Amino acid sequence: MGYMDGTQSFAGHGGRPVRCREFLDAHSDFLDGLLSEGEAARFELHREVCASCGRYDRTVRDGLQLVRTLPEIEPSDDFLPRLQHRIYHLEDQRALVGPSGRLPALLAVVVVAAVAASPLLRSSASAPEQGTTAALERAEQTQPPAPRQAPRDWQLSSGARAAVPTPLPAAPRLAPPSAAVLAPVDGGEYLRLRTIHSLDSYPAGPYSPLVYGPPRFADGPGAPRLAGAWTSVSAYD
Amino acid sequence: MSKAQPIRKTAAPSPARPLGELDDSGVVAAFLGGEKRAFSELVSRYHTRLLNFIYRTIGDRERAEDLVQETFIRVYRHLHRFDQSKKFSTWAYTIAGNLAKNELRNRSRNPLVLFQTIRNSWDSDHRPLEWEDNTYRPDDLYRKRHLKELVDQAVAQLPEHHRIVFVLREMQGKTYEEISDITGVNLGTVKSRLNRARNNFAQLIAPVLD
Repeated sequence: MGYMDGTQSFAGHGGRPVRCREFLDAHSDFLDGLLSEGEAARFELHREVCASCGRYDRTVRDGLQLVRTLPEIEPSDDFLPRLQHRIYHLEDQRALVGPSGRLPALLAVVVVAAVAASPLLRSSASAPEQGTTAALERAEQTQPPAPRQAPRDWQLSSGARAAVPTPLPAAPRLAPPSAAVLAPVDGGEYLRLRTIHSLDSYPAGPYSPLVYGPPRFADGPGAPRLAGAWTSVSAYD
Repeated sequence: MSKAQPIRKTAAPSPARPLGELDDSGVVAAFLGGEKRAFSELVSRYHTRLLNFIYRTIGDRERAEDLVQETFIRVYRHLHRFDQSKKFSTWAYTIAGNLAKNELRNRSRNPLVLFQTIRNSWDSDHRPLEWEDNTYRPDDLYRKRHLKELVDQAVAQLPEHHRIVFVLREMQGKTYEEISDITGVNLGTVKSRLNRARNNFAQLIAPVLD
């Protein structure tokens, strides 16, 4: 069986015959109903009498039917929080830039707070991320001030503590964090601090800011320790 | 001195109407009118569609999510410049499509890959349309077991400029005119690319459909 050479032709409906080449070249128009009635009739006749083109037509139609039934993928669970986070920073930058177009206080949007904790966290959770997200969502809905909440799945050692960062001095639109959540990363080897701020001038809704803090670790023996202070909240994008 | 404000072609929505009941242009107008929640309505309407569009175009799920995020960031930044006489969906798809094309271009910075890409593109546009009638190939029958996976692969194997048109038409249900607007190529080229994409696809998928 070889390639169609375009020499097969069939007359139909009193019009000129359709060649295989013509059938292939205009097949999309045929498929999408863009041919005139007469042309479509000629194509249909060719499809019936030419086994190869008939099979081509069936293959395209069946294949496209399969394509249209392929399952859609869904965004991951953290898609919207990540987008909220980015939009928030966009708003924040706009507020800082101001109408003059300058960046007067960009560098001052810094310093969330010193966070100290030691020795920390043993995790027995196997899938902490879902718990974290749920905790973040819960915390986001609460109004500050709210007590720090640790997900039930995670067990803090007796000496563990997490300091809630102090208010941001250079970010007037930010209120103090409403919650800080300690979460194990990579099976509890590391720590991630997530802090949730409320933005008093921002309407309650899906774009309340959500600030993710990166882990800061001190080297040394024993359990990992959070070390030092956070830097700019806008640097975590 | 204040400049004259452009006339909005879409009427501002009634505050009594929930965002979910508005069409896209109404939601856009609401956002531009200061209703911040309108943006999340646009996100909820389009994030899955754009994700699937980009994913099918570039074939990388995680990267596709990043690019959808970037799409919405750009929408957020530039919505005030959006021509409201146009369809919002076309504009959003155009941004997403450009990001996907940039992603593919960045991947092909390797000169060898670039050469192969150029050659494949030339081949796919200039060779005559073919149809090999391989009805009887029993060695391929086992592939039926993995039909959907193979359909996935067949889409991924299409040349880039055919694939984007194919995905927009067959998986996103866009009209030829919308595809032309989104991709920035004329209607004739859209038709030609779609026909070639379908032809390529048929050849790739035929063995498993027999």
